[in-house]
Amino acid sequence: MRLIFKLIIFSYANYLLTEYFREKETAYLFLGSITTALVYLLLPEFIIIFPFYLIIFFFALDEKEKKKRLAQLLTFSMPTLAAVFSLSYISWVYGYGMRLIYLSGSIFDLSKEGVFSLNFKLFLVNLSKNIPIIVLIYLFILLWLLFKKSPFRVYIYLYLSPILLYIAYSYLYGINAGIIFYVPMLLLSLYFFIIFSEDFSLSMQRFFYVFLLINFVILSLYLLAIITIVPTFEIKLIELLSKQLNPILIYFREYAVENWPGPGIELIRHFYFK
Amino acid sequence: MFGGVKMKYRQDSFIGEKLIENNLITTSDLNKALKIQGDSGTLLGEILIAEGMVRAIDFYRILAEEIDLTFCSDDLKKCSRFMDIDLIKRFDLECYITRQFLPLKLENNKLKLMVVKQDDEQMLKVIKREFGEVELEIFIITNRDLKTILENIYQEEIVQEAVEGLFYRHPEESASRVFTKGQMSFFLFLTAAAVYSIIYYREFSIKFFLYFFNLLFMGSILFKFVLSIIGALQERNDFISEEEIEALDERELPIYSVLVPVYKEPEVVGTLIQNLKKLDYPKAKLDILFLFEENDLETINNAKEAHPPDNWNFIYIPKSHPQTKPKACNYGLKEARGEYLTIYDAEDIPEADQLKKAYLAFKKSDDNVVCFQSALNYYNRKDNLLTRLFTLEYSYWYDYMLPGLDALKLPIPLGGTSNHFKMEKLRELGGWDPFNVTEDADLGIRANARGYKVGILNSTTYEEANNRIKNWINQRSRWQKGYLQTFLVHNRHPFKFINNVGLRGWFTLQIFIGGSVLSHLVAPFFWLLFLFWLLSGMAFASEYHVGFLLYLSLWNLLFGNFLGIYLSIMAVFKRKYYDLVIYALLNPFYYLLQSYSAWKALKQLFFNPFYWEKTEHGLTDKEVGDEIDL
Repeated sequence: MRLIFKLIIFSYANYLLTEYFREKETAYLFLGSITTALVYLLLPEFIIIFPFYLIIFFFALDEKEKKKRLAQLLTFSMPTLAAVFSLSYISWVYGYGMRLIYLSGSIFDLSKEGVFSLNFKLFLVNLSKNIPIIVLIYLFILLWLLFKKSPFRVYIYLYLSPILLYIAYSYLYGINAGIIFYVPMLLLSLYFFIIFSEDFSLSMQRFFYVFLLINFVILSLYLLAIITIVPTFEIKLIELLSKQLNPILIYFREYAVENWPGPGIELIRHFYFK
Repeated sequence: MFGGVKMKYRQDSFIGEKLIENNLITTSDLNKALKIQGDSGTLLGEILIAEGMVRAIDFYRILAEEIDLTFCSDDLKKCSRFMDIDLIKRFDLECYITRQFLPLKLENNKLKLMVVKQDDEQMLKVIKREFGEVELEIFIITNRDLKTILENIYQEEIVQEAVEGLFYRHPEESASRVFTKGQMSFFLFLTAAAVYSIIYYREFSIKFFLYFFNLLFMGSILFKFVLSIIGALQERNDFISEEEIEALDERELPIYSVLVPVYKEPEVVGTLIQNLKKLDYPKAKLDILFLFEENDLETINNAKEAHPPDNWNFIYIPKSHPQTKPKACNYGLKEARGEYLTIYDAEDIPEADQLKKAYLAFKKSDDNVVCFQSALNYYNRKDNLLTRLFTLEYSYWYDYMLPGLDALKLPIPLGGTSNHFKMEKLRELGGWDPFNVTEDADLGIRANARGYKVGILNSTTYEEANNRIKNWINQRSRWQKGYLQTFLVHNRHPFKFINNVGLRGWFTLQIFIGGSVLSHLVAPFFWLLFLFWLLSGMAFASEYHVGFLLYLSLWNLLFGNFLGIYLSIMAVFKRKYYDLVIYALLNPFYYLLQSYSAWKALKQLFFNPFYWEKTEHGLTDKEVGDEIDL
């Protein structure tokens, strides 16, 4: 399964959990928690940032409802913990032993040994190289949240989750996870805009749409530029698109992808199409 | 003017003064009654009686004196001598109950007539339509005495109607026959086919069995999940708001009948009467009918000792088979005179504004909504582990599952009490099936099959949760037996049923009513099989659990069981019962109890199908209101 699909589900889980805190609707808590468990099943690396969520669900309470703490925490954590147990049980049934957490590979395979090392300096350098892409829309909403909702509200912490996943992924594999992690950032920005759109002023909304458009164009060009150089994707639609867009794409690939200071083209291909 | 409150009718002032003169009421009583009259628009006499300020017999005696009519409650025998049964039978009972009169004799164009309200225009119109211009000789009688006379005249007819009414009119909808011939043939064929295939196609049969029940479990839990989430999305949508209740003009409220079937409930009947007195509805517009079995003297005496107002009716049901709650309700239905009707059990504590909410809900809904089900919950949830688990189950069912069914417009099986009906439609549906021991669930499905809808009301009635396992099993096995009866009744003509309610409705019946009992019946086998395999590692189970069946079984074992527990956690949120959340983890043990009672229910379905397992009440030490804010 493609990483991009897993990250879309990750973004959706965060959207549901944010909706829960915003709307105080039980349905969102249940759906968000089950979707979070699904994220774990698809992307076991998620378990690294799971404790961060536990802290959120332990502390994010209204003052008047302290008795709710255990119920909220249990509701959130139970599906993921059940998923952890289920995978372990399945592993045991298939004779691989009762392993508690999977980190990679399909659920029926042995886990691949993780690298568990990260050169933080290099990581930060690489992250800063990605900023030209992510800054436009993700940071726009982040700053808006910081100033309008205050840093103490739960929304900020949920909004930071793609960054944390990005760090966790990079940490596990010892590499810069790359532009692919821009997808949950973009999606979460969109979801947050939808959730809080009533709180946005008209000028803020216009800014958002401009950034969205720029981001969308850049991302589309970026993806198309990569797709056209991958032989397995030479289907008719892509061929047609590449023919029509060829002059632009060649230009873009030359100046924005291959000469871009972010992650190399091979790494990007690795994450998109592995 | 009395105490600054304006009289509505001049006649009222005479009656009020007369009652004060006779020391039957005080000036303060009269002022209070007049205030109520201003708000609710009912007659002063009815208010005084309903509020318990004066006895009905005293009021009507004074009224008869004032308007110079004969008061016959003082000497019923004398008036009864005039009775011409052939004349009486010219109207049906419903007409007498609604209009509160009884013609005694027609002689020389002079009609002797017993009435509760001498100037009721509707009643006079009915008389005129039947007899033309006749001279009336009116006798005043209390409502209770009129009902006693009517019961004596119509008792046999009422009993027959209560027991056989549905069967005569719609035999296919009655559970008096457990299995139809077609169903018998089908089940015999199924059994024979199962035996044959076990002998000759063992592997195929076992696989088929495993596939069938695994798919049933999966379908059932997924369906519950979808319903719960949709139900949870309705969590904060109150169909009737507090503002709507406050804006309600009590003068527009109709008469509301409340059936209270009580059998062997001497401990709680007094409390029940006090709880009913707290209902926020004009008391003179309440038509409360206690339905006693005539041999249940202890309960009857305790009820009398609680001194309910004189406009409340005590109905004594003669002994007849089957001795069930639905039969009692059918009996009561014949004597109810409200535009709407609801049922409360002996241990019920309805929220005070429930009747007003129900009235507004009907007003707000389409014509084809014939019933609203209120939520049920428990006031003694902290009694012990069983009551906690029972509360979780009930909260989940009424707060999430039923709203989910409602939102998807699927058939809703009604709960035992606090269902509010349009009287006219309830009679049209044929009332309750006295042979079905979950007559409520059956009625909900039947209403749907006849093209009507059942809605969900955002009001709660608190009950007493069973706190003893044996008592709980008796109650649960009755419910499960009733579910099986309902399942069989509505599957007699599956294509007709699908035609009426659609495939989704049919699916709901299979999964919700039949499927739920079936899963409880079969689940222990699967658990035992799993445990045996786990402990012994036997190859028998492994040889069948390969490929898709393995994935399916793993899915049910891991995700299905998880979801069962997880969804019961949901129950704590709406009512903020957060202290119960940890008990939700014990849900599998509760499921075991349900499995046990399902087997008991199945046995009874064959050997004692109409037996009504009585649930004992009054076992809790909790004082009413200890755990709820009423």
